[in-house]
Amino acid sequence: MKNPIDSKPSACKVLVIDDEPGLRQMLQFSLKKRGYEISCAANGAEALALAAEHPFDVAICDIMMPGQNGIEVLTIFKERYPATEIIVATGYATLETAIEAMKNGAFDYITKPYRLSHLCALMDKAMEHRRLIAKVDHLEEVNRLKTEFVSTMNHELRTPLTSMTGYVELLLRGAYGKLPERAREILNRIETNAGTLLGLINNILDLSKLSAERMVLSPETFALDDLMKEVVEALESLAKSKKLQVRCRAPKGLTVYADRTKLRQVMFNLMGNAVKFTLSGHVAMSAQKGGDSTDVELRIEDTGIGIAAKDIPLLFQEFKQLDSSDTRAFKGTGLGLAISKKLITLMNGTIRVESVPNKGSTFIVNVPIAGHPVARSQSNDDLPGQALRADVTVRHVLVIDDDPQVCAAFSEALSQDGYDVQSLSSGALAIERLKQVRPDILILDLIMPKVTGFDVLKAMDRDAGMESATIFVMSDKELTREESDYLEKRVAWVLQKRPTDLNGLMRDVKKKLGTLRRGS
Amino acid sequence: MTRILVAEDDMDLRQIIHDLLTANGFEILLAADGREALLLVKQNKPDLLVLDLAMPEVDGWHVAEALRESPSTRKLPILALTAYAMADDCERALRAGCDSYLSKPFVLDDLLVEIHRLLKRTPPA
Repeated sequence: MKNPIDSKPSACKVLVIDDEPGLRQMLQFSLKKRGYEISCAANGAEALALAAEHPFDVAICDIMMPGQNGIEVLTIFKERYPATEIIVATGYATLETAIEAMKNGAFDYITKPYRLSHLCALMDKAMEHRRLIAKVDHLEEVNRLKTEFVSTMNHELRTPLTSMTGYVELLLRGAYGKLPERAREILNRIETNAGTLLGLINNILDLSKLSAERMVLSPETFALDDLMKEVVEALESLAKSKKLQVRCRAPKGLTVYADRTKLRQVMFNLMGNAVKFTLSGHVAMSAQKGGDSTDVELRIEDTGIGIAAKDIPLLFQEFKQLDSSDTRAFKGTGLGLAISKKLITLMNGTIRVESVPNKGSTFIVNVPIAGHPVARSQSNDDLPGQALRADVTVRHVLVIDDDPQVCAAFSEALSQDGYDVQSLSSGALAIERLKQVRPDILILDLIMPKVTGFDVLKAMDRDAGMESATIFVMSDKELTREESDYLEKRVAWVLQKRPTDLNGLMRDVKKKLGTLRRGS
Repeated sequence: MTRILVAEDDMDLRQIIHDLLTANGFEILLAADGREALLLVKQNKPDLLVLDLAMPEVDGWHVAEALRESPSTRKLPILALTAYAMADDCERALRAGCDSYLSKPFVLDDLLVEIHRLLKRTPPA
């Protein structure tokens, strides 16, 4: 992968689109002298032909041209070559024209007649803009690769681990003959360690998803006390073996709207720690309604070893264990609290701790989950991962593709942006589903075995009950004239499908959805 | 004797499931990829299929879909195995026509419990 940050700046490639030969000549001459690489076109068609040969960094496009006007050229140019920054030049600078140009993707505008130095300053700004965009793209790509790597590694680690635990279990079951008692003990230890390893693998996957802001919450309505009881029951035998008392106090009938699995994970982490770090006495979990109408306060309290004040800031950091010596008394991955904090933050809550060494600790979680979803739709604004989605009502996207990887890529990419994504693997399933639901956006693969995307569209043509507000289709094959004509009338956008470049495809779709969203 | 086809590309896991199920009185057939699995289902008419999802040649999702499309195998119980442990993969398995799934690594007892549950639902004719 090319790193745009390290690449040396080369001469800025500029395309001048203007119907005045005199102006073209003047710019060709004086910009060349200033170190720019200049090409000139007298109209839109010439400009597109030149751009097809080699990419330009910046284009200076005249608005008033005979035939195709500048705005039209700009729109087509920007669609085909989105990376080129376009500065429009206009002789009669009405604000409307300028706004129109900016709306259609121009970087900036300049009023004729202009000073060359002013034009050069604008071009430098455009280059800087391009460089920053390239940098952001690059960093996003690096981050995405990292997350993908962790997820692949996770899969690769699971398979051998499954074989290891499988053989151990079979040995313990006596599938390969009777074993001496000592051997059984050792096998039990291997099993315990494999369990620890799996916990670590799961934690790393969670943490990587949380760090990449790819963790998606799926909230539901449930009774909080049921969940608390479930967590306490799961830890009861461990607590009993240490002769600890376990208490649980939850207000009866308090329903919450939250991601149950992830809240359970947090409770389990905190209660598990409480049991782990308490040698005698009790551990307790309680919940109550907090300050405002949606706030729920959870308290997890123990009579354990406690935490020194100086260590509290380290507590929620990844891979930090307060006692990291080889002989440390308490084992663990040191990820539980970091994950819990990130999960609670994702739920727009807070977590803190009060502790006295050798007396005990209390973890206090405040999270806005009480009541029902509608009352709280605005509570997510200042979350970094969700800032973009706060003002967006969830829109339903239906993806139809026989390639499960494509479906998975859409599901992952779009649910991050707050869309509700569902996918189906065949045209036949799509036709059935479309009789029942009306997705806001339908993304349809044209080339599928048996029932193709065209068949789905035709079925929709026939049945007025089957509808979708916006339809995108994807194809990796050349379309016939007839097919193109049909699609032009029927769908919002035809995507060039590149099975080997799913990320590029996702970026294109996101961009397109972004413009739809802004337009609405 | 109840016949189970195990389609799994990892040799060790294939061996483990084979040893476990043989010890529990099942007749076992093994396939190392999706294509082989489809062939063996056709030839040997197993009572249940244990199906790894990430396999070479034809992956598990496609195997399940193909089996669901053919009238003779539409009702064959399918237990999917997945290494991704993500809700999405599991959902995709169910959508493709699998009856249930286990995430790797799984406890062998869970595998036995699931197999018995699925077989009871559709007892061999």
